[in-house]
Amino acid sequence: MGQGREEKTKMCGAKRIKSREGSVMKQGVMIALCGVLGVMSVSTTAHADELMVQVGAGSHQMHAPAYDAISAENSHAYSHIEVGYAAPRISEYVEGLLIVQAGGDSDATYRGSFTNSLRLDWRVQRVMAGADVGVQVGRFFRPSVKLGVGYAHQRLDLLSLSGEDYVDHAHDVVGFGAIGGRLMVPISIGPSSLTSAPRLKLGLQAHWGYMAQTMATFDELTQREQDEENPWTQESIDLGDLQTRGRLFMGGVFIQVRL
Amino acid sequence: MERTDVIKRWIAGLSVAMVCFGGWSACGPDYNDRWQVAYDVDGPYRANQGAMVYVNRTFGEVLRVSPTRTAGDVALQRDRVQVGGVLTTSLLSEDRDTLYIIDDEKKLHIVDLSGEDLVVKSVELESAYDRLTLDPQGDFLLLSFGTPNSNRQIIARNLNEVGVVDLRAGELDARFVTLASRAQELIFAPEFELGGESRRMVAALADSEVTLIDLLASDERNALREVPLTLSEAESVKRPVQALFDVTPDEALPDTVSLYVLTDQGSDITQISVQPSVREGSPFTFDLSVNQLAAGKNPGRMALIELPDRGTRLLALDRSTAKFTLVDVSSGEAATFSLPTPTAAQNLMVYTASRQEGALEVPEQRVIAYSETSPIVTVIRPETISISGDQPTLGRSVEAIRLERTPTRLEYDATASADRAVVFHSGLTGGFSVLNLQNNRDIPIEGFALSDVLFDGAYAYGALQGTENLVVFELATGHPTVFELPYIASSVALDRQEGLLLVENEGAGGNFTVFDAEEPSAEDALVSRGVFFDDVLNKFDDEESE
Repeated sequence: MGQGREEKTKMCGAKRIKSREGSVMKQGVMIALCGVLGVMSVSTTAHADELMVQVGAGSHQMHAPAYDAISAENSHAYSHIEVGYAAPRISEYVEGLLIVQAGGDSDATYRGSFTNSLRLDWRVQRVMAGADVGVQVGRFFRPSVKLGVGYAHQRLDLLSLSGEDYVDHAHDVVGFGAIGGRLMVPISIGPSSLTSAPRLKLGLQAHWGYMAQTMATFDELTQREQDEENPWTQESIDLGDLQTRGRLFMGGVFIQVRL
Repeated sequence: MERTDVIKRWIAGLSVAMVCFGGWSACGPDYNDRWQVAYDVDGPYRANQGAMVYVNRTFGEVLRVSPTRTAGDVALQRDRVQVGGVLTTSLLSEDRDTLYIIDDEKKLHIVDLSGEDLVVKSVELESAYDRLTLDPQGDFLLLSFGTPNSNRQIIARNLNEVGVVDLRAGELDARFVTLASRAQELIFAPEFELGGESRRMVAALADSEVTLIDLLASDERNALREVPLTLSEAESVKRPVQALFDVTPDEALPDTVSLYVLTDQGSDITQISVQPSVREGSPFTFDLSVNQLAAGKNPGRMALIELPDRGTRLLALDRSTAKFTLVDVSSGEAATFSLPTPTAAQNLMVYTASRQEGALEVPEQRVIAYSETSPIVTVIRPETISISGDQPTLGRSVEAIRLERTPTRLEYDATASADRAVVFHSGLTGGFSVLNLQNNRDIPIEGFALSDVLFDGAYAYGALQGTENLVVFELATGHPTVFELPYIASSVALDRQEGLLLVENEGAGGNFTVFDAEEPSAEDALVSRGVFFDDVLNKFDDEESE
């Protein structure tokens, strides 16, 4: 037990990062650099397994010009649930993650394109497995890098085209990388353990990064409500491709329990 | 110490995060305002082989949809070409193989519809014209300015300017002339011969003035010849409402071409005669003479009738009373007769019927006159009317046909062998009528009104308003056969070669149904919806701004 040796590090807080003029690559490199320089002490204390559950929200920026057909904003919001499991006997720094996200842009939030002639409703759900790699710095802060890969389902609805709704689904592979950390308040409850680590931690978590998916193709929109007795053969509607990749922000409140 | 260091690190880390997040949310491509322009599609233009052509002004593209077969199944073929710019006015050629489009960036785009792919050629213009007038023979295209639009911001433009595009050469050539007054309408004369040479001429109609444009003149003096319609500009303005060229050789008026102009005021029709100049040393190629022909009290619409062995007649409908006037253009003699209708007729249509002369069938020009306020249409046979004679015999020279309802529109197919016309009626359930133009009988068809009709020999296809049905009827008997549609139809096109019918269905986004024309049924049909939105997500991909 005892606190680990702390290293002094340089933080890059003094550096101003360009916003509009900077490229994606430059900003990504800067943030990764901050993360690397932010790594501090290494705890050598042996801990029991921990379970972390986080609920939160985030935003995913959409670079694709096609997204202007769906929203006037450059990003979409989503909510997520994250479950993490840390087994220090395997690795002190790595926490396995299961992330479920759901978001999108409802037709109601955006006046349809071409003065409401084209109304689109877009939803996305993602399920990803990943890892949170970081170190505990003191009792209250844990900077980390998050990585994940998984499955994304997108649904695009074309609303009220001559009074009918059409829908198509896209299934893609999604991956992300992000850097950030947790601010936590340790709470000791119940009998003390041999490790003297707090039994419960509550806190806030935030990560910034980049998420990308394989190209989603919406070329088979069909009527949402199909009459099985309809004798007419109807072609599906092809609206084109939607590229969903861009900067990512994930944040939320978490509870971490020592098992 | 240790604790202070840790706190400092947290603060620094959070500061970095805040800056990054601030940068994050402020970044990104700007929203492309093109997604919020009004949705604007012009069409359909009925092209050849059953195709319908649209000018999608929102996307700056031309779309052609045509019925086809793929592996034996009916299909809808789409061909697109980007034209670019803010497209304004379009015009289809007489042969339906070319579409002319102008944009507001001083460009004329000529889209060739005849091939498998759509091909565009563009010509730079001197001004952003907004009106097109095409030579029926396809040799010239005229560009002019329409009625000034108060919603559009105009910096400066010369309204009297007319662009002339010569379409005959492989390389498109555009030149520009300035008239004395703004041309409200441009009328092409058919190609004619005068003074032993082939000529092309256009009449530019303006307030109180007509300008004759000689398209083949090599000098400016002869290129534009103004003819005033009033003695001075101080007189009240006389606005031309109709002009007709007569280029048919006439023994009574040899080597003469005439232009007849009807204005919104007065009781005369102005006759402008064009003859080769006979004066020695005259700087002009042609001599112009002006004559006023009495045409009833208040002529509102006119037609030119060629009577074999008797010469040319003008038939003018009176604007306010149920009368018409017949004018002998060579002598100027005129006579006014009554129509068997309670109200004045505002519309007329000239067609060629046939009459029996012994064993022979001889063609005869006739005129249908009708009004949208009376169910009676009148068939006039000018050949049987003597100008110096008595009131034409009702039932012979002038015949009334009482329809079930008032007509809104008359469609006549000159190539149809059945010699029939279809009359559109107003109201959703106004039905329609088939007019037998041989025996002047009408066949009323009760039911829903037509929105469009297409002739095909002895049959016609009709799109019905307000009901998901298509009607195919025999022109000879009027017998209708009704077929079901998945959606209400607005337009119909036919590919006679493939035997395929293309129906445009109502609704935004471009909706079509393709049928077998012989047996239109659901089993051998294909419905295509949202065709105008094909690949819409990627329409502006090249315009990403960041």
